[in-house]
Amino acid sequence: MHINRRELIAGAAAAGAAGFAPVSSALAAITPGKPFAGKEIKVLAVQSTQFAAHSKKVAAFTEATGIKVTYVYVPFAALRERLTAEMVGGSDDFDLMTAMDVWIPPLVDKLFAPIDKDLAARKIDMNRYPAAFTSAGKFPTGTYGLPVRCHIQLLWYRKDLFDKAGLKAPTTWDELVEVGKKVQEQNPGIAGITIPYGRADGQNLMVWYNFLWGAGGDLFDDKGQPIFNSAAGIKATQDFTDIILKHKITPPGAASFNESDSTTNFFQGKSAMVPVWWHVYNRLRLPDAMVKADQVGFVPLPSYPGKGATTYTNQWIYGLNVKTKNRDAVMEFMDYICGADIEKSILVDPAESDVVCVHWQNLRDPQVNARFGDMHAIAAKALETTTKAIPNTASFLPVVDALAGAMSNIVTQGVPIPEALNTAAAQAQRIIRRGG
Amino acid sequence: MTQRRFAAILLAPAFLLVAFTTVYPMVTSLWTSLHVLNLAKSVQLGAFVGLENYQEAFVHDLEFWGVMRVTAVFVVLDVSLTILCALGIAMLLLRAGFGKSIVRTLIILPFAMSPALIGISWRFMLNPDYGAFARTIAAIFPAMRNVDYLASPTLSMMALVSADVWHWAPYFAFMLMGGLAAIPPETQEAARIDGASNWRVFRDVTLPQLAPVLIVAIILKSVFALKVFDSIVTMTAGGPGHSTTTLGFFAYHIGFRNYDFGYAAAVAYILTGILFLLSLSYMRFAFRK
Repeated sequence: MHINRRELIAGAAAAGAAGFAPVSSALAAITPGKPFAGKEIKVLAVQSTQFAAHSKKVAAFTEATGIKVTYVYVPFAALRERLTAEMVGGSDDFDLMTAMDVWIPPLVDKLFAPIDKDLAARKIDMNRYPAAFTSAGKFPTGTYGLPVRCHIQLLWYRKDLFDKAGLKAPTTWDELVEVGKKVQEQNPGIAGITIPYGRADGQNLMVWYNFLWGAGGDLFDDKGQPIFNSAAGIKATQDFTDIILKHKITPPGAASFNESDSTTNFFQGKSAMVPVWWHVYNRLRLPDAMVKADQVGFVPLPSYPGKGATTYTNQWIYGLNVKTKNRDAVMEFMDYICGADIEKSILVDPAESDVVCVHWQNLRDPQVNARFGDMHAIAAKALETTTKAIPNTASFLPVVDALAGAMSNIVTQGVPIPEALNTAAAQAQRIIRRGG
Repeated sequence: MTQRRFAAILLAPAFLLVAFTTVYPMVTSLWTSLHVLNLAKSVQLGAFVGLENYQEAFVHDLEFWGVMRVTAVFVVLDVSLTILCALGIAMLLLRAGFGKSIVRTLIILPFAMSPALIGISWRFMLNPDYGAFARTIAAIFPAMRNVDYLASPTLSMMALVSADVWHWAPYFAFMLMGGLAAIPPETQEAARIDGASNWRVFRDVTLPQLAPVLIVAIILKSVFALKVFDSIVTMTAGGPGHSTTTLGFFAYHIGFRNYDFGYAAAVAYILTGILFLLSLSYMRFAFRK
């Protein structure tokens, strides 16, 4: 990881002024008298710089509590199967586990336990998080985890190309098309915008959700029946697919791009805009980056005129194993590791690179924003107007497959939008009927 | 101890192993296919529903028949092209020539590669922006510039079939070389003395004698084609739309992504039924007296 001098000075100052203080204030939340000393906790986490950073905070916790914590890392591609195996086997191998939003509903009560009483006892206020970051763990039967690794989408754009053309970052989808066309005309070989339209793992829906919610549509009604084929859904899909089919401002290959292809296209300098998660920030800071940080700007995703930005969020929680024998010790650790102070100490540490931030106070923190070019403040703005999130139902993931297939059929085979969405809705109804 | 009992004792470990690793999972999954087992609802086996899961596939699931059609297209194209290529390679390699052993060694290399890796590599090579294949084709046919191969149902199927043919043709070439080598050269020489052209010798003398090996190769390749999975996951993800979603990939999705294991078991059993018929044909041909 390349760190420039400015960052190093800022980081050192942050570490000096606040870096150590947050960790010590995080320890202040620990129950006095080491009541859980001697307990051992095992944590199952997805491989990431954030959880590697968490494991570095364990020594101070162990010293203060006498609780031993071990992290076991599993690559993203294998984690869902691992969680499923833990659930089916009724295992208590892991006391605390990380899980992604769409994976959580089937795990509720079978692998993850509700923690509302613990939250109340420990006075953990869920309002410290943006609402869009807490929905994945909230169910009618309770709260099943604390948000720990959440991503929001931003519109990344080539500031240098926009400045050259006298363009401003778009705030509406119409403006996005307009500036995309202009940049593409003025810069041969550079596409206006890159979006993943390939169906892999439903990645062609990640940007579409923002169109859908912005247009006033939704995925399901209050009774859990599909309504993405409503007039608003059809308009959103029309606008979303027009970008590639009608306006033709996407790169060749975008119809089969997955998220990684799309992001790589932008960072190879082959497109002028990309709507993608904030964690790509670190790619700009790589020493051999083809597109440098000073060439790139970021803004909340556009929306429809008069509507605030809505961002589709990706949420991960720390969930407590329903079978754990160390509940109090695990909650002690969860309280500590999920604290805002720990999060900030990682964000301002020049030796760390993760950008993930889930607390309002850190999203608006001057030190955090100084390090990441105000990215978190911009994200906070988008989160203030984000009221929608993907539904918490076990049937949602199969429905994603049906919808992703429909979207791919529209883009690659010219299937009329109402027909494709109606077919997906019929398939969704069948899936929901089977899912119970 | 009688010889019969001694033989039974010697065979027992093998029988137990097969029973534990094949028979038990097959019986369990058949039982599962007759029940509700949706992990999103419960980790316990649910109510007995008889053939309802099979009915779900054949009657209610809007994707199932499309998946069956895709599977049939893939198997027919894949098997015929693989066997044709393998036969061509076998005929060429059978002739003695300088560097034959080096060529034989090199030609088997694609078979040594993992299908998942092949899928990833082909996906990269077909990228219209920087892919080696896409660029080469565009250089020869400029009209093909910017063609997104994996965004077209026809081209993505062709790409998937090509990758699989590239992977399997060497293996079957070696198999057919064995068959060709076993044909008595006198029969071909006799035909040539009678004035038969090379084509007539191949069609009327070589091919009939190669037929038993060829049929076994076709059945075997059909089984392998029906099972195709890794390259679909890494190359097309079953798309665009559902145009490269085959039965095996479909069953995986229903089970491991959607957690509907009762239904997934039924779909897997439909695939197993087809594979069973093919395997039966293979056994009859391979072990006929």
